[in-house]
Amino acid sequence: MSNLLGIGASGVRAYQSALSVVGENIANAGTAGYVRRDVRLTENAAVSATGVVQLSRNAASGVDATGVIRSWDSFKATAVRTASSDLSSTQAGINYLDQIETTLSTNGISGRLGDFFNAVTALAADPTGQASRANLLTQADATATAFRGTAAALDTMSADVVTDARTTVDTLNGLADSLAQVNAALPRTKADSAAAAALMDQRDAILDKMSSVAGISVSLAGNGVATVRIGGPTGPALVDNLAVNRLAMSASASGVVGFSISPGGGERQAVQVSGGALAGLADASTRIANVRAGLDDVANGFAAAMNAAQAGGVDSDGHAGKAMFTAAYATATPQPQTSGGASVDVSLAAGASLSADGYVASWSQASGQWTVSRMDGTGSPVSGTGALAIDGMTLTFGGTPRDGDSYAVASGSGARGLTAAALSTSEIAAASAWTADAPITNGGSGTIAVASQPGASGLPGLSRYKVTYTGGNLVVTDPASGDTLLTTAYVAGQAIEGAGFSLSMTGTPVEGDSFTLTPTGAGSSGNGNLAAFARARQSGAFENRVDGLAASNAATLAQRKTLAEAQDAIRDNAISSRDAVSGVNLDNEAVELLRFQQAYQASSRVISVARDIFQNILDVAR
Amino acid sequence: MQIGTSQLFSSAYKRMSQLSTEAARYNAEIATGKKVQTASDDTVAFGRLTRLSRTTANEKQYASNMKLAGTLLQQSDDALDAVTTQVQRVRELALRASSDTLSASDRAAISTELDGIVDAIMGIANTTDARGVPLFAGADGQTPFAKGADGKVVFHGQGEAPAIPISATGTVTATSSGARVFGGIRTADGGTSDLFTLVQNLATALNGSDEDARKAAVAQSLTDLNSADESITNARASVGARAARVDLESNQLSDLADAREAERSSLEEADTTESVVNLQKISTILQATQASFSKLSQLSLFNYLS
Repeated sequence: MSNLLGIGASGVRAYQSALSVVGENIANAGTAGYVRRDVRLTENAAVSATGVVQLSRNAASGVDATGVIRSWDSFKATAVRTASSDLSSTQAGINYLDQIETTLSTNGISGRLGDFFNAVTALAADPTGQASRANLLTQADATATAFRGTAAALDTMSADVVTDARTTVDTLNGLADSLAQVNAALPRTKADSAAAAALMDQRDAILDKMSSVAGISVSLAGNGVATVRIGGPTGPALVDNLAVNRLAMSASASGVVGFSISPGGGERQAVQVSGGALAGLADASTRIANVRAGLDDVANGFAAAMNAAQAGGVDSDGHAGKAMFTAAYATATPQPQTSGGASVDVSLAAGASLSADGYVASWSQASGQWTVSRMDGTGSPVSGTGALAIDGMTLTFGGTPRDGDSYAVASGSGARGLTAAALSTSEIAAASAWTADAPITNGGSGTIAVASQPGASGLPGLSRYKVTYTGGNLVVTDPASGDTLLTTAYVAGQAIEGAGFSLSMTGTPVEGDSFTLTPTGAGSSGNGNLAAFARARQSGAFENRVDGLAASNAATLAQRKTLAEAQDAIRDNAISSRDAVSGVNLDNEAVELLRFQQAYQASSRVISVARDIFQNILDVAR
Repeated sequence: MQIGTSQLFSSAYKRMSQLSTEAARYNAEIATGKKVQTASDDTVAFGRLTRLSRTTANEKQYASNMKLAGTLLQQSDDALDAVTTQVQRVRELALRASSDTLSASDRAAISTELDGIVDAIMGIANTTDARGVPLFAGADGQTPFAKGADGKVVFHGQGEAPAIPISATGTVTATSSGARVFGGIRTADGGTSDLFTLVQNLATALNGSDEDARKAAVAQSLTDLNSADESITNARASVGARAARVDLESNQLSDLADAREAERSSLEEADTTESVVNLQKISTILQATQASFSKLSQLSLFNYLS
């Protein structure tokens, strides 16, 4: 009868375990990463008697809770991880694309450019008006400010991406360390135990987090130890059993983020992270760098075109136009060994042309002087104290430097440096450099237009020219000497190269019609040169280019948003399909609870019956 | 298929938050009246809107330039009208001077009046326009006509009057060079002269003592004054033609602006009725989801176990 007692006892033990597993499931119904557990019940195998003194135990002998099983499907877990990687990659990108969109629209560069060019149009109607001249200068400043504001926002964004990526890489490495610990603990834990299940839950939670950080390939050993590879299934291992190869991150000068790893401490190799937040951030960093480069291009082109237009005309004082914009910028940063308390201020004159390689400023205690020289070694260095000027750049030194202290001055040009020169209203070159006068005796309708063309050298440089239409030809003469300088067949609108200018005639001249070209003097109310600004607007298409940057970003953003919606749905499906296996459903657990409770009660009853039977036997013997 | 209890809650949360987001979008459409809020909402429409707003800004400036050009042309016309009146007066005086009955003192009086007329015409020719710039100085900002030491009126202007841009490609010359307006008059002797010289010559001739020479001079003056009148009339006609062109283009511009506004509105403006209906729809669905969720979440087998 001890057999029946044993069976009952085994049942009570097994169902107690089962009930505790159900209790665990219910308690963890809301725990993220918890995988529903089942208890494995096995019938105790019958053991036949082998010894002389032992009773025959050929009957079945109860039940055993032989293990705790996780309701887990590795394929479904992988599907969730892949979906998470894809989604978080897209979302990390969207965040920055959104910021680019906001930056490009709030600063409204193309609107400011439009205002600037419309101010030019307004000035053309009233070339001597102080108000229209002042308005043009205001718009020039507003345009430059918009470029600088956008560039500054993009610079911040670029730095933010790098910081974000760095933090995210740290997170990934931290997760890798945790996973290595779980890997270490798993083989030491009894298989199919509650402790093993808890460790595997931990492992899967870490893998889930990792996959939202970076696209990973996971392979699991029989004992549950995970190997994680990054950059595809054949990529280098991030976690290989107990070994962790930390992912490293680098940012290029333009802010493009890249990753590398050195497997087993070996040679460092670049890794293309294919999913997860890191992939999104790397992509965002490239996009921001592209927008910055595009904007710099526009800023440089705009400054150069406007300065060229200015240079082609004369201002109210009869001088050639001065540069209106500067796109150059320079920043001084202390070199690593610099330890003194010096300060260096950099300022640039309008039209400063800086060496692309930059400059270095160093302090010598012996001479008590700063020396500024070009990084590329060309030109002669400048020495002194206080303020030193080189190539249109002024470095102002303050504080107390130590011997050997040096500062690197990086130079460049682009949107972040775009500034409007402090011109006075009279310094806008509205008038053409040359004024063409036709005597009223001219019988035809021919008119001459003169446009600035730097480098044109078809005529010798003179202070006056005379153009006569005769015999179907245009004859250019020097009015002072009467010498013929050039004879060419008249073609309406065809440009003739002069000295730094080109001239063209339109209309129908008659024989003997002539024109004199004289340099435009002070106080002209001409607006001929403003057409050069308008032409530069057309040929430079600055507004369209800025809009193009915004439009291509917007198109990508719209596409990413749609993609994110789709990926979100895919991830939701993957999660619900995983949870159909691994999730805890309280109704199910309630049923299980009842089932095991009843079985437990029944097993107790078996013990009680066994005791009664045994008692009966004892009673018979009495 | 089994649904995890926490999954039940999280998916309900997600659905409701999606509905709220959608409701917020319709709400923004109603509040701002715009359906394209950012470039990524509708890339193509946004690009089109950007170009439309740039064209609007440009044309606003062109319209303002046309308005100025119109004013300047009106001022030119007024000035030339005044000049015509003066030229008529000169012709009357010349006719009267051609009479044999006039005494030397009568002629001297006419001559003096003619000198006054020269000053008057010079005053008109030196008129400054709405911008404070002389109307007839060409490309020069300085006062165009001045009397030299010999009393002759000399043109000091330079070049052609600047053309005012009134479209991306078109310009209108709203003012003129005084040399062209007051000069280039074909005289009876086959040469060219200017209005001031003609009047001054007449004034000088009237003071001459030789009667034959005087008569010949007056007769020639009358012929020349006719061509002067014609020349001024031509200048006025040219001003009028330009003013008509400015008017025409200005009307075209405002028609284009209307068409653009219609396009902008169709691209950008939200249909408020549609937005309100959509918002109502989403609100109803959201409320139903909330109600059904609160009912579903109360269902648990544990409630029936005791």
